Amino acid sequence: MLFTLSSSLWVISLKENISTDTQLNPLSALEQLIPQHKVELLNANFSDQQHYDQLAQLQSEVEALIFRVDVSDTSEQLLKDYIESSLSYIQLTSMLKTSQRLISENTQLENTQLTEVIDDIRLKMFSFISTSNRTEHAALMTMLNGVDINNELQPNRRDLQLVKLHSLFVLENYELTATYRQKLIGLPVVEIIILERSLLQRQIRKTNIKKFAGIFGTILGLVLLFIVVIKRHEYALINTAERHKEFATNLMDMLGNHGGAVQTALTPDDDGNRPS
Amino acid sequence: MHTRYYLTLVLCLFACATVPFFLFHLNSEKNAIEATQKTVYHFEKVAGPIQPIPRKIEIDTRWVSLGKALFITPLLSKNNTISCSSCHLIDFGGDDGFPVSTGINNAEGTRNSPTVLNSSFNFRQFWDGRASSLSDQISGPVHNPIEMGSSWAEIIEKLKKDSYFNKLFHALDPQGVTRENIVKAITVFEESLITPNAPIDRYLLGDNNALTEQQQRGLEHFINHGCTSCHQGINIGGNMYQKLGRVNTIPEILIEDLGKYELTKQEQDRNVFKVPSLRNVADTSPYFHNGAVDDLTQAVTIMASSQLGRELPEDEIEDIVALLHAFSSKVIEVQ
Repeated sequence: MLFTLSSSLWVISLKENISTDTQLNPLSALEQLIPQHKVELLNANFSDQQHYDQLAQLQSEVEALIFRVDVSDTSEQLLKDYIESSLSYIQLTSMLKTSQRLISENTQLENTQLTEVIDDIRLKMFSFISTSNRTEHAALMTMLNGVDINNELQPNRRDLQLVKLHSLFVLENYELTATYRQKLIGLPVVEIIILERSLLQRQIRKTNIKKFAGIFGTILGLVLLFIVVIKRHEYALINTAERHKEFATNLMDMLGNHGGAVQTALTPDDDGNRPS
Repeated sequence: MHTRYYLTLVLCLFACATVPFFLFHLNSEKNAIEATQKTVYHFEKVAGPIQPIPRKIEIDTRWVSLGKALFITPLLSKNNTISCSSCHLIDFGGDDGFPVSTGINNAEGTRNSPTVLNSSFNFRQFWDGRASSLSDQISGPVHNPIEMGSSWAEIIEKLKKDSYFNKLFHALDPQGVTRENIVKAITVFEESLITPNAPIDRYLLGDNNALTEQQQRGLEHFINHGCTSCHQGINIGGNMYQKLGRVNTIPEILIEDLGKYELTKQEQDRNVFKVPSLRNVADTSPYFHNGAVDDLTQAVTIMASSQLGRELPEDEIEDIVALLHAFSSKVIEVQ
């Protein structure tokens, strides 16, 4: 019984060990990749004159690992939140950078009044970007709403439309992008990974204890099994010896009791004949 | 009586001895699968937003062959009528040329089948990016009732009964036909489907005559107008999400499908799609997630307006369309 239980415990703990090791590997990989991802993400320029394959590759690796890790629901939610926020941040920042570049592009227009309007929007826009506040936001929004881009006959309408649409985009998404950035900075993803890893390591230690107990129990069981077998053997031998002893005693007694009969057999019979 | 004890003892010892062997055996089988050569691309980096497709690839050709056979077999579909290649014609741009694809029992899909070519360079798979890797993606069409409508259990049973596949699988892995091996073979095959040496790649790598003058003008517009804020990298796209209609309104024909929103139900994901790759775009009409536009000129006009707020003059559109033709090439032959 002890042997069966202990060996079962050993095998179960071995299986648990394999499973916890499998869980530990993606967590360890995440522990290395997430800080790298966070740094690259927050420091990326997102200019449209560069490419982001490396970041996308890193993003992909981190996501694949997050899908594989087995962590608590809260941690899982936090990690998913991190990934979703980073994707939204990349979307907005890459477009914001392009919009800012397109707004700042120097266009020489024949219409001086229109040039002044565009320059004014540019100035206010970059002032808003450097010191964003609600007053500037509202003033710029009023100004942009006053710009008519639907009049097909207006000269340089395309330039005006470009500046207006991109300025509106920047205005509507600048704060949201900053919020995502702050969220990404503040999310304790690395801490969560470290915590989950330490919990898993504790579990591994427990499993190891179970494994060693199983091994010890199995060996003990085997030794006990040997002792029991030997003892049984010993008892059997003792029993057999006693039975033989008893048999010998009985035989001796029997022979002793039948001593007269034996002697009688040696006396002459009624006719006086002796056995030959 | 004694014999029974000895027998028990021998059995216990045997059981003890078999445990480590069993565990060792488990590990050795796992190692046998992992021993397959991992695909390695030899990337060549250049300055600028667009990067060339690697011209050299190290790949396990045994798994490529098996993957190719699986890719073209209809055994993967429920009624043996559809294969992966039904919707992804490798020699014709890697898609099927229809607005939406047709699955088993003539069921119509809801989205345009994306090209399978160079898909290993995408950071996520599907239009809404719901699969994070090629291997994760494979289960999608296999189980989708309007695509292949099958299940792994059915497929494994069919492949095991097929002497050709059964033999091939066992030659590569002692476990034979398993879900993992099927996915692995198709993934490796898809990793081999890259199209280097397109005119744009040759131009990026120093051959100034690889692009015509018009295409060179197109490249200048493409970069200066901001197309590369989304369409950049090796795949000229496929490495980020973006909202359709980010800056300006989008046409009615594209508005119905809400993209990533259908998965997450988050407001910020409304009309958000994975930026599609522009590699071989001239061969993959019709365009957009629902295949509603079958003309490159119209597609460029829509994108310039909705994503960049630009009304491009005709000559610039023509230049960009000419450039898009320079993104096409044939699939590399792996040795």
